[in-house]
Amino acid sequence: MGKQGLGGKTPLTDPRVRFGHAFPNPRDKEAPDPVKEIWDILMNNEALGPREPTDLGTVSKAERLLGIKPNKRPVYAYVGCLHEELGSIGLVITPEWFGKDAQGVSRCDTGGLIGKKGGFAHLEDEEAEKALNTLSHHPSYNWEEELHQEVESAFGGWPDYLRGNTPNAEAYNDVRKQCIKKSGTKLDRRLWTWEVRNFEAISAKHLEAVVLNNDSLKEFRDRFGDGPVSVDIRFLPGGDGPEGTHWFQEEKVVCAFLGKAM
Amino acid sequence: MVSRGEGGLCVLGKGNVMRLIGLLSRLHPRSFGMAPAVIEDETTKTIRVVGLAKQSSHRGRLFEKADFEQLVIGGHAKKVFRNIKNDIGDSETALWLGEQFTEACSKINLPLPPFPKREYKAKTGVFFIGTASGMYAYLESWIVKAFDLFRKEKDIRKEIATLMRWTLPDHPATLAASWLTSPNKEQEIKWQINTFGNGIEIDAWRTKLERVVENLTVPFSKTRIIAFTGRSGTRRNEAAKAFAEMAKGVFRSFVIPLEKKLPARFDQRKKKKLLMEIGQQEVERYPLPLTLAALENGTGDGKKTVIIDSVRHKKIYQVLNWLGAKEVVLFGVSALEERTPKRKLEPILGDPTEIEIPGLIKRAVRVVDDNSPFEKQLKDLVAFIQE
Repeated sequence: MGKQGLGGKTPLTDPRVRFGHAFPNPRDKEAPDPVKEIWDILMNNEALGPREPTDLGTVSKAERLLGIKPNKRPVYAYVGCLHEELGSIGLVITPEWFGKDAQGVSRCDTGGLIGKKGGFAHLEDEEAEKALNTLSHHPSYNWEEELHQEVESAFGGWPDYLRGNTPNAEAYNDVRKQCIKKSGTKLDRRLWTWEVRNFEAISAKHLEAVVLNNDSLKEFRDRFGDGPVSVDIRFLPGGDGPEGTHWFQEEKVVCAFLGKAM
Repeated sequence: MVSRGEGGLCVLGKGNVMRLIGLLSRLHPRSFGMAPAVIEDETTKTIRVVGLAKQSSHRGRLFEKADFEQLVIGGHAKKVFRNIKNDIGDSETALWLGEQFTEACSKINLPLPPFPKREYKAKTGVFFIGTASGMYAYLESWIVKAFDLFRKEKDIRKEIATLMRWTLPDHPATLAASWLTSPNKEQEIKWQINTFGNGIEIDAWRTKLERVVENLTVPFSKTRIIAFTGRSGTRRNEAAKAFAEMAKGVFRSFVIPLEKKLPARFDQRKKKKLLMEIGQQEVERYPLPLTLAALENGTGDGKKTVIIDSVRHKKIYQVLNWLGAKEVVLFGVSALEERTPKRKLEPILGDPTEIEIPGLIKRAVRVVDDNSPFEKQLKDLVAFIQE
């Protein structure tokens, strides 16, 4: 694994950016009813655990290289990002979720890297494997501080990172730099979005906000609208407007990731 | 040239052939709302998503066909199977109308708006294509009408509130209707604040809902709309303006919004022809938004009578009747002998913007004879509407 921190403890940074987990993944066979799934999580009927990978070969390889055993797989989340591919439900997860059962942190999407997908496509296998090692850290590493510095340097601050804007490639001194430069206009957020892995499942107590696109909101309201409401968890729905469909309320999602009032 | 591929919809673009291959996302049969569309470039085989607001556009940036196929399998997107001919740009989107939504409206006599001419069928519903602002006008107008019925018909309030939630769940009218029909009003308010309320206090939110209940009305509910119809070559426009003055009403014209769509430069001699072409396109694609624009969205300068010139299509007459005005009256202007030479008129009279006019004149409650002096006839019309 990559660089180890000194002292083992990650200092708190301000703001502590939350984690995001969006679903359903279009290739996810385990989420046939995502609206019910989120309801069950909110009602503490279930927790969101590791999902069967859709690209089993790639994920298995990445996890093996990261020292993850096949019979104890982690839940994945992304720092300040509800992953693309138009998942219709997103969870904004408290930083405290990433605690004693944390597995590790990587400076990019590890599945994308090892699978050489999107912006990683031009890498050789060996390059990708080496990069996985360099870009991944033990959870005790001082990753939050380094992430902050990287975001400041590459984006000029958190808002642009959180809005999905593209970074300054020169801010990076690893394979991501060449990948960003070679990607041309079709820039791939997987290149610079930090990924975390945790053996602890996501349950209601870890949620700060539930993000729903408009269709999911309509369905949720219809099926579960009369149920009990938790005032500790905000709902952030998308919606239709004269300017088009707001998939999610993007600026509120940015605030949610920053832990600000929405 | 239209290219036919495997399933999907073909769109004529400038250059590469584009194909509309699907709609996002779950598109429930009970839903009425906007749906971003997935477009495939048949030459490069790349796809893009249109219909997303600017702030969300980054979400469609890396979307690939394999992702779309998987979304379809999982029930999170819909494939579509018909050809369409219009170009579809990034500011355009689909307006989805689920079949169960249509049935539910019919059951409670809540009429849907007159939709664009071209309707595309999909599994469990139909959809229309247009600009986001044009399509949104359908949702907004329907919600306000639904709320109007909600206020009048207490027995079906729950059904109406449900339909409103399946349309624009965040609209103030929907929130008010949901609150009034909720079995637990306090819990409903808490949920609304948690979702839409930005930390507002409960009492303030309740006051806001009460104000909506009290004040939100259909824009034309106190307005009488007098529409004029008549062929080109008559003095219809003159009659409409003169009538507006006599009746102390406000005059509106469809020409105003159409003129805004003229190209920056054009041959002035071809202006009428251009306006006819644009008018026909707008009637086919955006009958409701066009009518609202012509009526200037209800701003009658405080006057209760709006005179609109001119109605050339049954669809527009249907829209006027749907709007929920206090009254809609149709006057015709007709001539046995044409004032304009036949050679000038003939090319026009077969135009799509003219051919429905004779049928509309038959529906008019009064017809003004273009070959006779106007003054007395118009005075009679004024007397008619004052009865």
